[in-house]
Amino acid sequence: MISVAIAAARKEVRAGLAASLGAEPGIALGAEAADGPGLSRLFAAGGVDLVLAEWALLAGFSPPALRGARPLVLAFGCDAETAIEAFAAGARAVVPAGAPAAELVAAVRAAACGLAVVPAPLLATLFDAEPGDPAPVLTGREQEVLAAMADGLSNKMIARRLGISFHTAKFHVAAVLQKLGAESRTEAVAKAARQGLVML
Amino acid sequence: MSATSGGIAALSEEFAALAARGAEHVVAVEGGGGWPTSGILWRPGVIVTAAEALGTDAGIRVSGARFEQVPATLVGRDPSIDVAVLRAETEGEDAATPAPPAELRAGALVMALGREHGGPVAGLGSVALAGPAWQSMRGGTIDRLIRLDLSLGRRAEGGAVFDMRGRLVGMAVFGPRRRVLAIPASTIEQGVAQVLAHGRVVRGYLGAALQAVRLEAEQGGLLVVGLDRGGPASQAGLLVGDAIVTWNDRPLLRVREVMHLLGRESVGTAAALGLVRGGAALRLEVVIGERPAA
Repeated sequence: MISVAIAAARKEVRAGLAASLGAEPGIALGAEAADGPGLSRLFAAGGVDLVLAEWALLAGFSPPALRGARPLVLAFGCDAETAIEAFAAGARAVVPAGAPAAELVAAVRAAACGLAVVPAPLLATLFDAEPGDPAPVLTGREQEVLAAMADGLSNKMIARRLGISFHTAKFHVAAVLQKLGAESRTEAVAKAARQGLVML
Repeated sequence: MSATSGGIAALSEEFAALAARGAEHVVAVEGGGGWPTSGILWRPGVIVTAAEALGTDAGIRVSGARFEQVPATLVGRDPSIDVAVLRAETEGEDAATPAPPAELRAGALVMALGREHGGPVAGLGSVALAGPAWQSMRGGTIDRLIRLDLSLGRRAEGGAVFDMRGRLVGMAVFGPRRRVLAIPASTIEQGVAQVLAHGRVVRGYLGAALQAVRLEAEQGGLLVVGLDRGGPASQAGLLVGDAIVTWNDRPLLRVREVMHLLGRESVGTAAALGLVRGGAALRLEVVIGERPAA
C-alpha cells in the first residue's frame, strides 16, 4: 500500500487529485496540506510514503528537508525551468500541471518503486546536447547564470542575484559547464563568448 | 652510511629549510563555498589567491604560520588573470622577494607551497616552459607563460611557487587541461594594485555578442549575434548581422582578440570598426564603455 499525502493551495485541486488517486488499488490517501506550514507538518509527522505537492508550495523548502528517504516528493505544476529546480532540491518525480489521472497514478507507482519520473519533453533540458552539436541550447535560467559567471560572480552571489538557492545555483553552473564542454568557469565563459552567448 | 648518502641528506634538509621559510608567506583559505585552497600573503593584511578556486565571497577564513582562522573579506577578483584579493587582519610580514622574470628558465627547480590544516604542503618540481607573455582565455595579459612540471594538489592551488633562492616566482594555478601554471608575481602585483585602488577590475565594454565567421574565401570576421540596446556598439550604429572585419584597421579573426582589446586601458577610447553589412563595406566608430559592475 502506497500512502500519499496531497499538498496544494486550492481545495478543488486537492479534491481533484484525491479523486484521481483515491480509487486506485494499492494507493491510500493520507493527510492534506494547503500551505507551507501545513507542508512542513506533513514532512515532520512522516507516516506517508509520498507527498504529492504543488511546486508553488515546495519552492520555499531547503534541500535537506526534501532529501530524506521518506517521504518521497512528487512535484506537480512545474515548467521546464522549475522542474530542474525541483530535481535539484531533491524531488523524485515531476509531473506537469494538468496531467491526466493515469499519468499521476503511473508517476506515484513508479516513484514508489524507486524510479525517478521525468516528463519526456524535459529530457532534452536535463541531458547533454548531442555531441558535435555546435550550439548548445541553454535554458533561460542557464543563460542568466552564464551572464553572472561572465561577471565573475561566485555561486553564492549568483544565487543571490537570481533569487535562487545556493544548491540550485551550483546545479545550474554545473549544467552550463557540462553543456559547453568546459572544465572550469573561465573556460565556460571563454567558450560561451566564442559562441556569441556572452555580451562583451 | 656512505659519504654520498650524507650529500643527499644535506640536499633534503636544504629543500625542507626552503619550504619552511617559504611557508611563512603562505596561508590556507577556507570559505563556505568551494573546497579549501591556499593563498599568498602579498602585503601586510592583503592576501592573494586563485579566483577560479574561491567558491564564495563571504565567510572566508585564512590560517597562516602564526594565526588561525582569521576572517578575511574579498576585495575583488580579476578573472582575466585568475587572481582574487582578500583583506585580513594578519600580522605584518615582509612580502616575499619576487624572482626576476627574465631569469626564469626551463629546467630550473621550483617549489610549490600551499597550506592545509596540518601545516604547509610542499611540492617539488621544475619549470617545464618559460615562455613569453600570453593572453588568457578571459582576455587578460599574463607577463610570462610559466608552465610547471609539478604535481599540484587541489588544496595547494592559489599557493606560492618559489625558486631555489627562496624568491617568489608566482601563484600556482591549474590552467587548461589541468596543467600547472604559475601566474607571475609581476602580473599579480598589477592586478592587486587595480583591485585595491578601484575595489574591482575595470574592463572595457562593447555591448555586443560575437561569433567568428568566414565571409568570402579569404576573409574572416566576427558576426554580431546580439546587441545590448543602449550599449556602446548599439549607440555607434552597429546592427545584429554586421560582420566586424577590422578593428582600428587590423584584421579581427577571433573573439578572444576582442576580449583582449577590451582591457582596462580601452575604456573611453574610440575604435574604428570596419564592417560588412549586407555585402557592403562600412566603417563605424565606437567609444568603448566600462563594463557594468557586477
